[in-house]
Amino acid sequence: MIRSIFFKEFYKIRWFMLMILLVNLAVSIYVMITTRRLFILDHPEIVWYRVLALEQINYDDFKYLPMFTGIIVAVIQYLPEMWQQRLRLSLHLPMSSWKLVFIHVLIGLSAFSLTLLPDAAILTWITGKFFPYQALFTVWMTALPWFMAGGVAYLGCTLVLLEPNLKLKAFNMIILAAATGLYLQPAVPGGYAKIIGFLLLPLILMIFSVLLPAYRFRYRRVG
Amino acid sequence: MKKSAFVCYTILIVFLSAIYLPQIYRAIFFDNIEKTHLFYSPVIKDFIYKEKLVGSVPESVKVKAEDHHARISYQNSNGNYMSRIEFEKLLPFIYYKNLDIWGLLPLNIDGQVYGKDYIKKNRRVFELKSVHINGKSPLTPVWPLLESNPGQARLVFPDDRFRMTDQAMEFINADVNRVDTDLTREFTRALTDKGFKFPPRSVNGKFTVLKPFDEGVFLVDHNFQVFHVKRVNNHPQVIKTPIDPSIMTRHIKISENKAKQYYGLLLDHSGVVYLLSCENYRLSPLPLGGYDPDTMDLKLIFNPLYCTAVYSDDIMIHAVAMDRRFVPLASFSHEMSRGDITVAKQVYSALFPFTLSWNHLNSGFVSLNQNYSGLTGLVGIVISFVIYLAWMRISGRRKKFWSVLLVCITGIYGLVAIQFAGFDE
Repeated sequence: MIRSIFFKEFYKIRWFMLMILLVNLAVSIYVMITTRRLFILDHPEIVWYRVLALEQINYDDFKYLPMFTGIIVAVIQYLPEMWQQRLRLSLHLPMSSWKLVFIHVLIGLSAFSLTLLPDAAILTWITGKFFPYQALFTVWMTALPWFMAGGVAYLGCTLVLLEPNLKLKAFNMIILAAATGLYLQPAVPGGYAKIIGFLLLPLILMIFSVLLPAYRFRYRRVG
Repeated sequence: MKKSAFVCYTILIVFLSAIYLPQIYRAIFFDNIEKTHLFYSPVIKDFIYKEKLVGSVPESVKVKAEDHHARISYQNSNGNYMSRIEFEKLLPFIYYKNLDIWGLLPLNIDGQVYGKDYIKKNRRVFELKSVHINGKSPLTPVWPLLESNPGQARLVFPDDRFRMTDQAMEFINADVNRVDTDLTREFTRALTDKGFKFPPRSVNGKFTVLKPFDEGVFLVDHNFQVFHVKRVNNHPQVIKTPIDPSIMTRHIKISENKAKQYYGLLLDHSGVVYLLSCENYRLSPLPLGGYDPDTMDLKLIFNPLYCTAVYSDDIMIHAVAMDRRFVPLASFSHEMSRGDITVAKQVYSALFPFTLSWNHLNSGFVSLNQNYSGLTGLVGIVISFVIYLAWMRISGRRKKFWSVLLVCITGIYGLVAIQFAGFDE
């Protein structure tokens, strides 16, 4: 059964995911080119000064990319299900609803993570190539909250799309914006380093929360 | 599993509400008031300050508001208001350019005459902000060691940076992003020859070329011994300073200036601040009663007659006026207008029994800070509970134990959660 759900989801999202992957790859390559260009236009020690001391972020094009990726993954995964009420059929499969929803979420989050892999790999490579290894920690403590924002955006958008009640749908949009905003606050590079573990809390809460609208959808509680 | 989902969703709503609802309230109703500017006047030998008033503006301030918005007030330590021009005339060593334009220079104070050039030469400011103390902000631990003898007027960045490892002062060439083994060996040997113990506690310096000259860096070794390291003609010059390791140096704020009298400020682990003299690294402790480096910003204002230390947290500002040997002459503490209890603040405390803020207070790190409203918050909880009861009655719904408990603990946030989390299902 799980295998069948996996293939159903895979066939549904594969071409979209490929497109998202290509967009992410393109942005990563763009960041790579602009970083290299910094070193062509100026002396390396000046670039180091600007990036390591003056806190200019050479990879800030990545900031909102995971968030948009998360939202798009959720939309392509759940919008067809909700438009055509296909999810109702799935929820009547001989499997508990929570397991079914979790499998869908797991597939979505895995697909989302896969699309971010090139971003993560290229960001690590760029930093390691152009900067001393100490910069890697700062870069990861800066970019990791952005990547987590993508996961939260995916789950928040899932909450919105699965919710059958219009009022709650609107409220879940606020939850999506508020939760994502926690990860995208203005901060100096590495500013999230001390609470990076705590940032998992909203993610975990949201993973469980997406079950609620699914239950409401399953039992037609719209009013 | 449905219960877990419900609990998680409720916690999520309460958590986000406790962050964002107070934030929205603050954005709408709170005035962003900057800190009070407090000085010691060498003319009247008293403290005077400039601050933005909260609430209604007294008539006596409006009368004095010649050329500025009346909400900006100028007062002395007795609370008497003055005009901006009167205020500036009382601070001739700060506003000496205006005094010059007004034809009031040279100045005579206690029989001593002060001209523009003399004032200019004898005034400077040292500043130690809480957020800049070692370990309080994120940092990529790679620093430049400038050439202290550049052979030209302008300082330039070297083509390498150094990092401190467990065994070495390691230089990395920025052109190739590789360790410069020769320079690393030379500097590490120079340090160990002087008795430096790796790994170091901190690296302190002013890492910019926008300064008149370079004094290198001050390294605090593992045993809290302070070493002064300079790069002179691309070779190390290491001095083991006589600074007592038992004070456990926490931070050194270097500020190269043309007077060449002090390197800057040194903070020890017990919170005492010293001026670090260029003369054999002598330390002059500053008598700053109540100073807390973790919550307060410190400013040291030198003029030809006095040195005034001004330090403040979010609410209180303190000042100590000292003579040039740092003997205290007068001190003053004042609750800044930003700390005034306004109606908006009282409503805030009553409305939100607790608040969460996702900010970086006195630190460069993002953190989750909790604030409790204490007894005032109970008012909000009672109001929320009454609203809950009325709401249940109007909608004809049954009160549930968990919803009552949630409102009693979280007040308004609980109401939001009950409205949207589906407590009736």
